[in-house]
Amino acid sequence: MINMGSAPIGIKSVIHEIMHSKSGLTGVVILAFILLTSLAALVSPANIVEKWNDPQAWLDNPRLAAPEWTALFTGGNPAKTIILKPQDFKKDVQQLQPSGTKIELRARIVYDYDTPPSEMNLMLKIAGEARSLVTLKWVRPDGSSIELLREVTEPGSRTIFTYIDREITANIQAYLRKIGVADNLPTGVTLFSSEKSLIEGTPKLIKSHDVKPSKPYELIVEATSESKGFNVEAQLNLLGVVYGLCGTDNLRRDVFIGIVWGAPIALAFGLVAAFVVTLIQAIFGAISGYYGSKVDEIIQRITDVYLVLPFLSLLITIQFTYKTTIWALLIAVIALSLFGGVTKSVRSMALQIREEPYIEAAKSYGASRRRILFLYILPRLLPYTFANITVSVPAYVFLEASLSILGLGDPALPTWGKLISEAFSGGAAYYGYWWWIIIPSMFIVLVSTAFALIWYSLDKVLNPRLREE
Amino acid sequence: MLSKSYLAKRASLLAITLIVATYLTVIIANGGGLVDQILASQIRFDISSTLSRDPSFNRLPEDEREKLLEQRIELAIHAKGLDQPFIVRSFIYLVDALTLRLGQALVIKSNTGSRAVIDIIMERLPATVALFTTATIIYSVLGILVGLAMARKPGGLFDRLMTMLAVITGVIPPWFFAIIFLLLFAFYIRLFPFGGFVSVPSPTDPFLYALDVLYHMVLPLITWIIASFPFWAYITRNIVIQTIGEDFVTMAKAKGLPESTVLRRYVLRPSLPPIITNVALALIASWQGAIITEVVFGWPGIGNLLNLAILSTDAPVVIGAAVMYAYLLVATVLILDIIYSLVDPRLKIG
Repeated sequence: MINMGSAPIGIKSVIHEIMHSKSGLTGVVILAFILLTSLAALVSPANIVEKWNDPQAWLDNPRLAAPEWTALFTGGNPAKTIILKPQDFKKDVQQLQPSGTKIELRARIVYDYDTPPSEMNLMLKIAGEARSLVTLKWVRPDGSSIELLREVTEPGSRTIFTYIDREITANIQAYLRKIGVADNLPTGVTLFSSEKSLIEGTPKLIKSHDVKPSKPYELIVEATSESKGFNVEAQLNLLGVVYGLCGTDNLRRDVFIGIVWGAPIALAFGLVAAFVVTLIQAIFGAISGYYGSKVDEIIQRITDVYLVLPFLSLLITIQFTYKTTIWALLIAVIALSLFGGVTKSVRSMALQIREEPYIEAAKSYGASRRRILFLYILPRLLPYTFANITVSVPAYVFLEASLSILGLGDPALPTWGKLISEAFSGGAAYYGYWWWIIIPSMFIVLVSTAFALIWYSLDKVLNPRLREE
Repeated sequence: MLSKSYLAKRASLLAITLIVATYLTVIIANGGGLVDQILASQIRFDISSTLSRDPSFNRLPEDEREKLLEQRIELAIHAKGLDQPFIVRSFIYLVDALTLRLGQALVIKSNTGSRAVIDIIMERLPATVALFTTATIIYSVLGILVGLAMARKPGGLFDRLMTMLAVITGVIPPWFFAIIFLLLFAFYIRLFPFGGFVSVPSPTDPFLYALDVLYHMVLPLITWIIASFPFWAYITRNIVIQTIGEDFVTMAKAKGLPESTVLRRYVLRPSLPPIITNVALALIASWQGAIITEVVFGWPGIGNLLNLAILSTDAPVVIGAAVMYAYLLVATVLILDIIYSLVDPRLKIG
């Protein structure tokens, strides 16, 4: 039996208990921190859900990049992402005789990182009516240069992935043979090492500030065409090996945005499910305990049935059959937990309370049964109910994650569970992309800890007998 | 003396619980009749594609062909009983389930090629029992020991730390630990394999085979134990502390009995029934395995089977596993009821 002699009554005193205990306050602070983090979601673009599922929207990010702060531990200065927008290119237009136009775009990249970029992609937008001759030239700070590409292209937009482009790879291999290097070095290493170190067989990255005076890397795009209205625009993405606060996933999405957007979803799902389920179960429990006899018997039998039902199997079946959103899932969860453990424990408490003198007093001056139930009994059960809500919020947050792991999460929304499940199915645990799996996990555990701390502060008051020596 | 009417009342109530729970499972596992529709359209597709490959059928005039096709489909659907409304069929399924005629799976086969649900479940059972029942035994013993240690000094540092740990692990599902441990022990430390039941190819020597299975079992076992034992310790602690508060314990202390005797004879013994109930129920639940943990570790047990069955809408397998569990659960509850009413006179109801 639970001793309720000194238990707080009403919402105000529950909040008082939480705010005046160390553990409760810590829990509230952690929750506030997570909510503040999720405020960042408000400043990110509104169509995030659409964008999150659109692989084209993330091309400016590196793939599977670790968070930037990892450099603090590993030392060194790993490459960050450098994006050169069209206006960052120095444009030089030259009219040729007797006809035609030659456009030169020159990108100057001051590069001082310790590693070559993970990818170097050039987006070319060629306007005009006829074909043009495009050449790409790469100049290192030490003055050495490589011709990457020389080809005739149709007008239009295209992206050249320099690291995997077949022409460029062939040209770079030809270059390496020319300077007498037998091995096929990776494109990134070849592009960012000094020619001297390549010839010596010990490729060493050359930084802009290694030469005096410091000089940038240069990418020179040269396009010539006779077409009318001929114009070329370029954007150069040097994608880093580290990115942002939380790194990126295998679709180049910023994990931080996923976490920030997952926070309100996780909390809303967990809070609503915990609140509704606990409250319904508590009300049924109170009715069962207070009304007694037939009503009690019926509610207890239904509860027994609910306790035997294989909850997770049935939920998976429902979710699989109807492939619903997270909010429909919420309804299924509630429907499958109308009765349960809380019904049983609240009933036993209500059995105790209904014998107390003040209930008898209320009866004697003619209070209706419903009035006694809602105004005299339920408020007494509130602290217990509240404690139960706090402890079941994380359980429901994890339930969403559990379904996501089985591929049954919400099809569109970026939730924490989906982040973790995508990380797991993307092999994060097998290849060691720890940020992709640990950071969202850490947030889920943080939420759990916060609610556990709040629960702990309430439990101390609710079960004073369990604390006594 | 065991009251017969009490026992009869309990038994009949449990039977009703079992029937209703099974019926609900039947309804939901069949997607409220959706699986029947899928089966019917499957039959329609099979027959029309078989017939269209039959040259003699193709020579028939158009309307004849239609008629023959419809006739064949109707016969096949009738043969499977799919022409009856789902409500009727749901009761047939219910009776089949309750009489443990688990029938044939729709999609899944056992390794020996059998379609019988009972064969499929029995084939997966050993793997699950080996892992989860072992884990349950270890974590309940560990939990009880730690719980007793916690109850010795309630409110002490150890007690507070374990309580926090219990609440946190209580809400964190085991698969979560599984993923973190895989990253830690399989990827970084490379101490354990990434999952599975045996290495491929598996050793032929039976001893080496057992050793290999054990090697694959260690990480899931540790995961399950770490995820579960703190909460068990917490439950045990609460039960024991409640008993310590009873008057007869104070009385025993007042008589000057040594601490250990008080703990063993006056505290532990009356605390045992609820602890035993918990352990018994956990052991029964353990054979169901754990869907997600088994998926994460690639463990070929009941949980993995259930996942497979659900994802291939194989309702008979889902119902079969659920009904077997419900039976075991109800039987255990009844047996525990009988034992307690024999042991504890307070529980006897007129």
